Amino acid sequence: MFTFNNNPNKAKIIIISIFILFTTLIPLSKLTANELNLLFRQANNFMQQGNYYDAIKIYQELEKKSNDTNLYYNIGNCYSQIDEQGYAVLYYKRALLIDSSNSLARKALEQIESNIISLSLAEKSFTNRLIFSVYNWLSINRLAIIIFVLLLILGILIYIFLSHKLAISIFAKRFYLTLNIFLLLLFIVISLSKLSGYLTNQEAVVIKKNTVIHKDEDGRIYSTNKKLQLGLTLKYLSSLEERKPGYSLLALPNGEIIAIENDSFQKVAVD
Amino acid sequence: MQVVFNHSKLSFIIFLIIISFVMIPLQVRAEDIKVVSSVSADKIGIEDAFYYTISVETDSNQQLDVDVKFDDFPADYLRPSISTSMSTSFMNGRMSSSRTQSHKYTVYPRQEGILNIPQVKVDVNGKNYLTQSHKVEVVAGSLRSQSQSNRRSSSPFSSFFDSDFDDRLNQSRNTNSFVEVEVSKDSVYIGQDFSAKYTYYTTNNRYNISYDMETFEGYGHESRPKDNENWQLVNYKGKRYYKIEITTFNISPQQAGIIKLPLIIVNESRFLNSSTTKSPTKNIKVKELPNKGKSIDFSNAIGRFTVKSELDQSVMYENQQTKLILSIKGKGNFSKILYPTIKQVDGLEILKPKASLDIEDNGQGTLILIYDIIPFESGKFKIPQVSFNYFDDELGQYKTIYSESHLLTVKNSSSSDPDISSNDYNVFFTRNKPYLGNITQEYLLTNKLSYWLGLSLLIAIIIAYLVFSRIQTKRMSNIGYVRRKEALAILKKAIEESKEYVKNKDIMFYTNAQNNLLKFIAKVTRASLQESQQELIKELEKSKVNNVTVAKINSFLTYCEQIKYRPNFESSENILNDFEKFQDIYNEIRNSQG
Repeated sequence: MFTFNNNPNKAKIIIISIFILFTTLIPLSKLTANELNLLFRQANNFMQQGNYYDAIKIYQELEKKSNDTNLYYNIGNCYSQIDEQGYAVLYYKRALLIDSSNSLARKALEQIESNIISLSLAEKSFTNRLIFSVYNWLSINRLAIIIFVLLLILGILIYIFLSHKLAISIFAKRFYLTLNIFLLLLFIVISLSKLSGYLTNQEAVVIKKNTVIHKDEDGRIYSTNKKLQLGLTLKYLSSLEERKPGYSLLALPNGEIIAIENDSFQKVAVD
Repeated sequence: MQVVFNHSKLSFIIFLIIISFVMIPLQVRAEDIKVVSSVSADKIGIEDAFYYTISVETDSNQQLDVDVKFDDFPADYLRPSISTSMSTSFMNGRMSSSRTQSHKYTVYPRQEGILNIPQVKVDVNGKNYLTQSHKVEVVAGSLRSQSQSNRRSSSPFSSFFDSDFDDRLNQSRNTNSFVEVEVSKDSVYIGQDFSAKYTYYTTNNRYNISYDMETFEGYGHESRPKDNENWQLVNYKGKRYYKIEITTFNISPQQAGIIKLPLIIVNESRFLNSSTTKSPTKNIKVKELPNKGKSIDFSNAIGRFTVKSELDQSVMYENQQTKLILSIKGKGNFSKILYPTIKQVDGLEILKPKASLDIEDNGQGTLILIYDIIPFESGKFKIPQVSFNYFDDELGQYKTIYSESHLLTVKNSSSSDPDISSNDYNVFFTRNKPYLGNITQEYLLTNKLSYWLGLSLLIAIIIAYLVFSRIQTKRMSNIGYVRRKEALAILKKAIEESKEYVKNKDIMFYTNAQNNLLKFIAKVTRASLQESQQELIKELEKSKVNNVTVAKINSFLTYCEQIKYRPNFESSENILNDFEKFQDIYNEIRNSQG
């Protein structure tokens, strides 16, 4: 049986080993990061010179190696400048999916949605807006850091209370510990919700102009004379490969189910 | 069997035979065309040239339609001089006539060695004939002076053509006249134009000149022969020359390889004399454009360019139309440029451009493209930037340049709204602030192993601390447990000490074991060490230590007491056995305590 009483050095050895393992893993990823940023700077230069097409080519190469929110944001900017608003919306959404607190991407997306896409967005109440902004501020990364900090605080509190270093009443001890554990659980729940949103995101954006809406009614799929707006966000439901190859089933923001060609949209989810 | 010939029939057959015999020579004569070839020398120097003559001879007076087909001729040659001669002769009272057409080619060898001139196909009046093959030995330098001296001494009756040819060659080596070939580029890419200018320099007085040019095929070119009157007096390398530009080629290569510029022989005619000067050999390398970096919308432009756009009107009404003026300036192959297209904008129709090209003598040019724009509806429209992908021949790479984007406001015909404010423009087309910092390979902390390691470490520390605290608490709250632990520690220490005694066969082992066992019992039972062994054993029987072990302890203690008073006790075997007994007791106590 392992006890500190029998061999207190054992615990030290294990903690030091974990620390060494932890620190040796960091430089391994550093090397790739340098190469990555070299290319990123090159693409940024192209973008600043107005050479958006070349910048996009490099950014898309980087996209295979990185899922950085700022990379997606810059790609969105380039597409916006060459008047590809569908792709711009797609990449701003990807930036926000990775980091909902990316205020630059949110601002850019809101600008496009208010100018290009004439959606009748419902006016939100103050409370709704507050909750919405707090929830967005709590990005996956921020939640991860908060959980770590709360755990650290919990550890310190336990240490203080158990070693009787402070003369605090039992009520106060219980109060602080309960509060900390409650906050920890709250942020764990929010994190799980965010992570599940990230992993199971089914949003799709219309990227092709004049995308014709098809209807799936009475067991057949037929074309309508209606077209979808570029940059409109839909919910991906399923592929229609077996019934109508090259088409997929999606839901409009109002819940209406439609079918469109596969090359007319792209999923927001990042591989 | 008897054959009977009818007389009239026999006469008819004899007549036919006679007619046939008469007609045969006529038919043969009609087909009697001879095609012969000859070379003016069997051995020449690489710097020399020779004549290759193809003669077509017919015995009749019929016209000759001759077409010589050179396929892969192994040497360079000039356009042939064609001569026709007729002769009539009487032999044995019969008149015969013949016609000969000669095609005389001036041939320049390409390399030293044996020059094999193959059989050449000659089409004469629709029928093909083959010439003979010839071998000419090509040696280094020039044999001209040598052959001339040989001829003077040994062959006073050499042919007129040979002597004329040698004379012409002699004069072509005259440094008083030469042909200079100037090219605008030594190596080009496919589709990139270049020019080759042939200039004749002579120190002689200005005479009428003419020139023969080698056949030049396979590449698009345009020749611009110059007038024969524009002589200029120039100084060239310290010598005074008359100079005249003979011709200029503008060549537009369509395939990769080496372009051998055509040879030109300039004939200078004088009153009693004439001279010939040959142009130097010049090769131009034609390279293929690289695929790396080539855009789908490559404009075919090669050179260096800039692009600029301008909107004729930025605010207009529905029933009006405006123009986007795109200027492509620079130096390059303007004639090959594919006009860039502007992306269609919903609500606007952008027509195909009207082009105007202006190229200056130094090669600089401007291509102006005017796109008419017709609005369908009122609103604000962004006319996107136009991309122009070209190949920069100096850098050797493709480049894409862009024009500016423009905002076009189309107002309702009936509206009298003021012009849109600049604020509207900024809101609609503001350029977002780019992110210029660093990026990471894995942005999400939750996808990073280091994050989970750190978190696990923190949780492990908390759990470990909780476990540790619990053990501590247990120790502090259970005094009996602590006492037993301490008592066990006494025995453990005694065992370690006993090992030394056993090793040294020291009888002190028994005293040490006895003392420590008594200390152990006193600690466990909280009894005083002053009490007797029997009293202590009684106390021990009351504790959690089982009776068998207690009996063993009692027995061992008694034995130790007896040994102390036994004289001459020296058996090491006994000490070792007794140590094992002591160890057994210790193990039993330790196991019973957990």
